[in-house]
Amino acid sequence: MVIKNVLKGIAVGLAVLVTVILFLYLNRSDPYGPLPGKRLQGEEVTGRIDDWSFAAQYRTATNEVRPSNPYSVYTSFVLHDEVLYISSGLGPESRWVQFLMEDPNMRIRLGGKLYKVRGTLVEDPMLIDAIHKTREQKNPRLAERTPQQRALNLYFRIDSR
Amino acid sequence: MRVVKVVILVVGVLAVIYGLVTRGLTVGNQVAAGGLLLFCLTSTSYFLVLPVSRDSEGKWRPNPDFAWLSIYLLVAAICVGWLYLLNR
Repeated sequence: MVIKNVLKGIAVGLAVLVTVILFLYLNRSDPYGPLPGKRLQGEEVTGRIDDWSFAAQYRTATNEVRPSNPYSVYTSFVLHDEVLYISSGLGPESRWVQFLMEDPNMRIRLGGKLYKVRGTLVEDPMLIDAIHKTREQKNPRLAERTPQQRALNLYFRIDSR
Repeated sequence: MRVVKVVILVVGVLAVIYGLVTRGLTVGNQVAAGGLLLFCLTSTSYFLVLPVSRDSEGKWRPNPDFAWLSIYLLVAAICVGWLYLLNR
């Protein structure tokens, strides 16, 4: 009987916790870890960006794809010849990649500022190889990947729109 | 059997605490999710009733324990979904 009463108290706590988490989940904007977010908040920058080298000061970018029903995730990026590329480590299986393939219009957030951009899949094998090398110079651990893991990496060129 | 159930409940609670202490409050905390699942499934065994049952006069009455059972089943289902998403 004592255990049952304790379990009832814990159940009330769990019910409140689930309700709070559900409320926060439904009203989220930013992604949380592997959970995708919705429409990103931040100051939207207008004007064309041709030199993305300022992005080097940030560690990750937040992408918002599928403008009709925003879906946002944290992604890594790489700067190569002043051009910004975002990458997917899961290849075409990644949901945000599928959304971006359907509609290349997206927004990217770097350091609290939002940029309206277009993401284009990089298909040139020589450019992909060069981007791999740039990434591996920045992060030597990436050079330890197997060719299969390497092949899973997709890159999208980011251009202002 | 009673002792076994209490031991499983304690193991579940300890797993949740261990998961939170070692891995923090993160979505990828599988130890905490597993501990919570174990705790919830064991807890359901204390409240296994049908939503309604007949009383001594033969009238249908709701079983209050069904509310507690529902909460634990709901949380257990969330844990299963959570672990599935982390391991797919």
